[in-house]
Amino acid sequence: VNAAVPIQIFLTFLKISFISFGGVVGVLPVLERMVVVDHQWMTHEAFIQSYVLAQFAPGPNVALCPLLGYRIAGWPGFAAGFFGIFGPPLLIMGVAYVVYHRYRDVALVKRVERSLRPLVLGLVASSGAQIWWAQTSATGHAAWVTRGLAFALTVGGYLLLRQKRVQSLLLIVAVGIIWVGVIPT
Amino acid sequence: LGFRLASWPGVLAGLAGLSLPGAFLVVAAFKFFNLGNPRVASFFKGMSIGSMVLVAVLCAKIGGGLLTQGLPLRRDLRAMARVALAAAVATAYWMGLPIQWLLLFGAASGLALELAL
Repeated sequence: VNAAVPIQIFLTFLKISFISFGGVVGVLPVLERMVVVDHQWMTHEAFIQSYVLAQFAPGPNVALCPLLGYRIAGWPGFAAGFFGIFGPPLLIMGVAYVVYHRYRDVALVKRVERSLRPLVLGLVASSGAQIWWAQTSATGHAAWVTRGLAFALTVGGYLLLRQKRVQSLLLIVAVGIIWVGVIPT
Repeated sequence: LGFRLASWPGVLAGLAGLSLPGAFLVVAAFKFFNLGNPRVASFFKGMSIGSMVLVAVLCAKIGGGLLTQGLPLRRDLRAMARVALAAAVATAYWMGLPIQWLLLFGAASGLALELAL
């Protein structure tokens, strides 16, 4: 592996970490654009597989970034991804905590926090929709079968989760099993 | 929490304790699965659709709880405005607006909204 690659990974994830609010989901398309399109480090499929794997890890869901680093450049990439994504927020949080703790009851601070909620919701919803759309685009099967199945599974899974009838990780695995049963390749 | 308990060494301890095990576990899982196998790849594609269900639930929670605070939309102008802004952000992101502009526009609009209403 080119020695410059881990440095590029570190700088890429460093940029991402500054705009990643509320976990990696909100910046998933940006991360994908940088990793898959700009640097061409891996395919879209490999990227999504990594994202799914990272869902099963305990701890913060940005565990995706060390895995991407590992897939691109082995253990040096792992370290670059880990420190790139976690480093800046930790430093900022340390400093911000001191400031926030002092002014947290000020009305304006509360309003600023509330004002960011639509932005976060918009980013999360859009990135989720983009991934869903890309993942359900036609493969070998007829397009309507693929998307129709995905739609049925999504709506059904949503209703089950909202009614708390199934655990989230169990649901992900169940959808995977149904999917591979209907569309094996 | 690490910072509150033990200042900067606490931050490092918190990072190592919370994040490293998961990161190593994910790499181990990656080495275990043969992702080149078409059936395994299809299984992962299905699971990625399943994980988007979680995103949908998360959006519903943010939308229902944090934006509208449980009030019916038609009765609360602020809630309607917040949801409209979230929809505008989502659409702009879908259309490919650069993230820097989006963050700037979203944060500025959200703040203007909160201050105006």
